[in-house]
Amino acid sequence: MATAIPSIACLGVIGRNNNPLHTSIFPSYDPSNNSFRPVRTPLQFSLILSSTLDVFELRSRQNAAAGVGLTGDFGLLHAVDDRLAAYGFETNTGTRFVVIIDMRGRRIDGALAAGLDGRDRRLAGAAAGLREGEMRPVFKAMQGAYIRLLQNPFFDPDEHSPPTGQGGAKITNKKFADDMRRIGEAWTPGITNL
Amino acid sequence: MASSKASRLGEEYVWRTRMDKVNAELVVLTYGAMVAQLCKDFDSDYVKVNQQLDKMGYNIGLRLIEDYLAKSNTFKRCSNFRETAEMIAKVGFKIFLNITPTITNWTSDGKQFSLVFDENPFADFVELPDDGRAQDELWYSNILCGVLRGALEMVQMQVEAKFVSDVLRGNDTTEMRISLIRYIDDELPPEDD
Amino acid sequence: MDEEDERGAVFWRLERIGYRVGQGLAERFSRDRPRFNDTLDVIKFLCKDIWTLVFRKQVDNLKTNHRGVYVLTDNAFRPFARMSAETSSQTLIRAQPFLWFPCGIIRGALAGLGINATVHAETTQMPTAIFQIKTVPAKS
Repeated sequence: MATAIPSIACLGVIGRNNNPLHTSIFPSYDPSNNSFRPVRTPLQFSLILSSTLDVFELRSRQNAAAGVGLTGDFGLLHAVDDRLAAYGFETNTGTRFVVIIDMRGRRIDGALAAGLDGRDRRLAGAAAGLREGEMRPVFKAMQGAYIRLLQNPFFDPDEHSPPTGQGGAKITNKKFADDMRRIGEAWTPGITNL
Repeated sequence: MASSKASRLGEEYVWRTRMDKVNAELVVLTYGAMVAQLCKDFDSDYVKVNQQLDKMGYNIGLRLIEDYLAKSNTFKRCSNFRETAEMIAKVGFKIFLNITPTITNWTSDGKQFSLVFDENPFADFVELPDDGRAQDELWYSNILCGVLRGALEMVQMQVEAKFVSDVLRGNDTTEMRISLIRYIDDELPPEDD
Repeated sequence: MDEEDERGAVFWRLERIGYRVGQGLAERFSRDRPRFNDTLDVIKFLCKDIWTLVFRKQVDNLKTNHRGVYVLTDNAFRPFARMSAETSSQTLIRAQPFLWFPCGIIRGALAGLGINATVHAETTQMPTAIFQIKTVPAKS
C-alpha cells in the first residue's frame, strides 16, 4: 500500500510592490494514470499566490502589534483546500517568498515506510501534516538565491521593484530560475538543508 | 626553486599581516556596479568598456606596484620573465586577491605565458547581460590586465596582457595571456652579484 | 565640458555606483537580523552594520528632527584618514568627491529597505563628514 507524502507544487516570489517576480510550478504524482503533472493551472497558482498578499499584510500588522514574528517566517498563510497549503516568508527588504505544498504530491511505498525508522518514518508521518518550521530550509534557500541574484551587477533591482511603488518587471535571470527549480525538486519533508 | 620561493613569500605574507582589509563582498559588489555603470555609459559598446577597464587598471597598477614591493618584502629584481610570472601569480595575486592563478602555456622563447584562474572573486554571482553581444565582446575582469601592464611598466617591463577566455562567457577556463614586449630602455635586469 | 559639468558628471556616476552597491549590501546584510520596526530602526542599522562594513567603524552621532530628517556625523571618516587635515578651502573641495560614493551607498541601502530618500554630504573640517538624509514619505 502506498502512502502519500507532501511535495512542493509551486514556488512564488512577490516583489515589494505586490508584483509577481517569479513563479515555478512543479508536477505532482497522479495515481490515476501513474504519471506526474501539476495539480493546478498556472492561472490558478497565480491566483493562490496573489491571495496570499492580504494574509501577509494582516499577519505583518498583527506581528508588529504583538511584537512577535521577528524572523520574517509567516508560517502557514492559508490552507487552500484539503490538498494545497501556502506558506510565506518576508525578507527585511519587503520581498515575499511563497511555497505552495501539495500534501499528496508524492507516493512512497507504505509497507516499506512502516519497516523503516528515522527520516523515512518522518516522511511517512508527514502525510498527516507538516511540522512548524518545516519550510525554513526552503525559505533559507530561496533567500540565498535571491541574495545571489542581487549581487549580480547586471541585475537592476529598480526595474523589478521600482521606488515609485508601482509594478515591476519579472525576474528573467536563468541562474535564479535554475535555483528555484532545484529547490522545488529537491525538497522533501524532514530535509534540513537545500 | 623560484616557484617555491614565490609560494612561500605569498603564504608568509598572508599569515604575517592582517592588513587594512576591506570587506571582500563590498569590493566585488563595487567592481561589478562600476562595470555595469560603464556598460550604460558606453551604451553597451563593450569594446570601449574593455578599453576603459584596462585603462583604469593601468592607472591602478602604476601605483599598486609600490604597495606590492612594500608588502611582499621583495627587494631583489626578478632574474628572468619566468620568475616574474611566479611572483605575479604566487605573491601579487595572493596578496591582493588571495588567489593563486596557475601559470601555464609558456612559449619556447620564455616570453609568453598564461595565467589560468580557477577562481575569480570578481566574477562570483555575475551573469553577463543577455543581449547576444556581451558574451562575445565583454571581458568582465579586464581591469586585471591593466593592473599587470601598469605595475610591470614601473619595474621596466613592457607587457601586453589580455584575456583569451572567461568562464563568464561560457568558456571552460578563465585565461589571461601575458606577453613580454621588451625590457624598457632595453635595459636588462641586473644580474645578481 | 567645463569643470563644473565634469564634477557633476563624476558625482552622478559615483553616486549611481554607490546606489547599486547599497542595494546589494542591504539585501545581503539584512538577512540575519530581526525585522525592522520603523525608519529609525533602519537608520540605526545603517549607522552600525552598514557603516562598519564599509568604513570599519560606526557613525559617531545620529540626530533626527523626528520629521524625516536624519543627520549622521562621522568624526573620523575613513576615506579622509590619510588626507591632509588642513582646512583650507582647496583641501575641502578636493575631499568632496570622496563623499559621493558613500552618499550613493546610503541612498541605495535605504532604497533596498524600502525607504526613498535624498542624501547630501559635506565636510567643514577634516576628517569629519556629515551626511544629511531626507526621507521621502511613502506614497500610499
